[in-house]
Amino acid sequence: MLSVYLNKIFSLNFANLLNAIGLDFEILSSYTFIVVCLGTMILATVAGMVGTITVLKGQSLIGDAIGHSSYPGIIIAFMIGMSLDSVSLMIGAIISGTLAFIIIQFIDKNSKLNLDAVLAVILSAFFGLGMVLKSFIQGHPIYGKVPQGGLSNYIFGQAAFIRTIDVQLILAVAIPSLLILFLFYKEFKIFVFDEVYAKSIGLSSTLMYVLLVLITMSVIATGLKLVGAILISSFLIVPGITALQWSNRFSHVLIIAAIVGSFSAFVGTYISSVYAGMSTGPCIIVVMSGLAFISMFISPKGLLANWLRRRKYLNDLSKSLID
Amino acid sequence: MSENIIVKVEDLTMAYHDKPVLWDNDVNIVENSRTAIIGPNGAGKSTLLKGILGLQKTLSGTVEIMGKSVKQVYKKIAYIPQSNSVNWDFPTTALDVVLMGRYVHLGWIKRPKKKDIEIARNALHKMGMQDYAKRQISQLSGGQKQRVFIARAIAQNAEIYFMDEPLAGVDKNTEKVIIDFLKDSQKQGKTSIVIHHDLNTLADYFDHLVILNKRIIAQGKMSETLTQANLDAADMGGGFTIAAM
Amino acid sequence: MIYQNLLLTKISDFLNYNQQMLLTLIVTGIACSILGCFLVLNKLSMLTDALSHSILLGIVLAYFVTKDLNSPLLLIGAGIFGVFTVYAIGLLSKTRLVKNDDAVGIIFPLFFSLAVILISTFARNVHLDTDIVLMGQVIMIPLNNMTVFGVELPKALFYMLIILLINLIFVAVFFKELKVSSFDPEFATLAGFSSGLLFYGLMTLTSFTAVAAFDAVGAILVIALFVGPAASAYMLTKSLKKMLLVSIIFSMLNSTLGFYLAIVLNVSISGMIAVITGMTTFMTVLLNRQGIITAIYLRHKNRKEFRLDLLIMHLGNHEDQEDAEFELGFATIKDHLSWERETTERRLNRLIDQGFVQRNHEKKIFCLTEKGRLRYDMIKVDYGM
Repeated sequence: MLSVYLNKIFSLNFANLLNAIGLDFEILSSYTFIVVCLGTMILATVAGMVGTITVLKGQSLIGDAIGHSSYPGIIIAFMIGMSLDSVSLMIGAIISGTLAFIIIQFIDKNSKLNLDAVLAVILSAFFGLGMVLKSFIQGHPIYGKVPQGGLSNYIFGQAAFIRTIDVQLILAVAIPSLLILFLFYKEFKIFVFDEVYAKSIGLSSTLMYVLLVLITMSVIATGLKLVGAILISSFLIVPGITALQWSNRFSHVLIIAAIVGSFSAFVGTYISSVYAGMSTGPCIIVVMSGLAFISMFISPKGLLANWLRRRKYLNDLSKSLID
Repeated sequence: MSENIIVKVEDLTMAYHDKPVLWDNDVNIVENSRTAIIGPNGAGKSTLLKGILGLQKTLSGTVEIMGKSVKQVYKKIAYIPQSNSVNWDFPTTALDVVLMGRYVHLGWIKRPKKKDIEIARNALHKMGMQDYAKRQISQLSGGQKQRVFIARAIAQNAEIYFMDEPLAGVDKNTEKVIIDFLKDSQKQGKTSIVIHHDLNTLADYFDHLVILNKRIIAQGKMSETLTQANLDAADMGGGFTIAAM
Repeated sequence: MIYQNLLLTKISDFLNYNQQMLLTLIVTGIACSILGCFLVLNKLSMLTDALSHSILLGIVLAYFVTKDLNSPLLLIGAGIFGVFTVYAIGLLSKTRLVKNDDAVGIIFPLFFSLAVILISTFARNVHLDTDIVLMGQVIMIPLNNMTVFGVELPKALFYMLIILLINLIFVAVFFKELKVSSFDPEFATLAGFSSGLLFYGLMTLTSFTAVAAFDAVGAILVIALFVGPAASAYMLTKSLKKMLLVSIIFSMLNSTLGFYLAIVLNVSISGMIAVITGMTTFMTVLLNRQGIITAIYLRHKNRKEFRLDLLIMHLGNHEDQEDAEFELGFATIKDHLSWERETTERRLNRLIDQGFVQRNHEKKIFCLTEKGRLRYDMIKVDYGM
């Protein structure tokens, strides 16, 4: 239904226009492209907004560790359910990612180890467990009979294979996540910029962490099938980093991150559809990172502006010193 | 007594994140003096030390120590940073940290000899820390940590000591040990340059003074420099009067 | 032919396949952990994550040049690319536009993505097996042999032995410099040791070690081998030499345990060693001197020391006061601290033995020595008085 409707709109108004600016209308109007594009765009929008909070809290590598750590959960969910059902695998991913997060916090609080060492150890231990379990079911007589080819997709992602049900799942996570972000906007803002002050006005930072972890975890878990455990962290942090180059206002940063995420998802998906064989996830990440680097260069806070400002400053300084 | 200038700073300008912290400063430190540097918060005291020592980039100006550049005389300079600048959980003992003072003379690759360990032990002893030689540094109190770092400077056998608030947060006993050490070093012909924050003890502990607030407000002998007018000029007069001393 | 065979020593004559694999794993582990100690101390642990993923792009790019998957140039190219990755991350965080963590987080997924795209579009005939990239092929180690100086041994073992040797020499020669620049970089700079030079030396070796290890054990285990044993040792030791030694012991233990468990259960060897490494690290968190379980035990032991401190405090507090002669007599001390006669005697004697307290026979009181007074001041600081 959806595709028929979209098809109509496209063919009526935009077909010639799109062709004129070099976009292939055939691809844009194909059902597969629309499904994949919708999925990645919605995911990248939410991930970009939620991830911005992670970036601002200085925890950008935690997303990477949790992304890797959600992998064994997928295998365990498969072992229990004996099926590749998207929902149950997602729940498995959320549980193992959350467990990893709790262990990371526990070690960080109770030892003199630096957070980065903790992340590295937990990341490799959890992903290692995933590898152990996967090799276990591969050689196992019971699990051998169930098709399990799809499990590998959760490592690198296989956006081209997502179906309507996956898009619905992404929507089911995206809408509540955005709603929470919207409802608690003020609280998140205080929490991000001054945790101590947030506490002093009676805002429970534990509650805020739980909310943040909950939505981050769901976004990661839904994103695994599209981009995979290794690369999902980029979806979280790169749009936020890009947005921070352009604005200092929390609301603007969130909006820019959402735009950067969805735009990259659209372009990345389009490129991977045009050139057969290119994986969608990596394509989106290359576009995203490209935008980030361009922003670092040309934004008002960027290298170019800095360089100009510095030159002017030094000129003024030498003038004033001579006077 | 003729006054030799041992540290000569001319036209020093420094910036942090493109914001100027120090403007066009000339500083002269007298040889064999105990010089205090004072100034309000954000006056650029630590930045000044780091600029003199070449630890932070300068925008303009020259620094001469004993008539040479810092790189040429680095063996004769000891710097005691604010105590929070190192990783206290590092697996190393008090004696080991003091021994690092000897590295300056050893250069690359050469290992410390028995003689160096002896020197390090003596330095610890001078600071009253001989019983803590084998302690891991994280197990020392704030004052003890400060003493270890001063012992490292002693082991280095430097001519000039640069200290960044050595008395901040230390116990009375450590404070006395440190001041005795400064007075002792002066008798041996050494020079110390110390960032200080307590106006009450200033005149007792030091004989020369530099008042800084982004620019040099005043510098010279303690008796001539520590005046109400100078303190007011540095925005440090509020709530404190010379008469109250 | 016969002559050659006489000279040729085959490692398979001494070690079976399993032992060859284990030996290679142990050598790899040691080579990683001695560098890992300095990475952990310099808070660079997550750089190993970045490196182990980025070098895939290095391998792909080098492959486009050499067109040979078995060329040693592939490893050298990848090693150089790893150093470039570290340099790029450093450059990016130096602009102050992003934090260091962000720089790590943006660079390595980009490089990894580029590698995946390049492989899938330009090198489709080279089959990219995701499992091999991440898990390595430990099983294949003994099947890939080469002959060096008349000894036939697994290629991976030979490469790792060379890397281990280079790493050992580097750490032994520059031990002093590495120590001082990781502990206090500012002091190191003032003392004439360029921290930048040491950093890039360390990162160059880390990169080449990661590449060689990546080839044998895969991207994920590389991270565990670098960071896990070093992190455990960091919590347990109070000198750098011991830390290096203990990390080597942990590394051997993890590899051996993980390897045999994997063989018995017939599962991924790399994965199992990574899991065991995580578990030993977690156990160390629980059981080390400042760990949670130890803290409960130590509370008991500290109570003992606390009593001695209390005694010193009592003596110090009353020493200069008028009631000194009364307060510092044996009977009063005993009563005021409400201790048994015997315990009071024992504790006083212990402090006298330690040189903190002396008897004043004339006045029949106890007072602090010079050392005791110093301790008194420190106790006050320790307890925040």
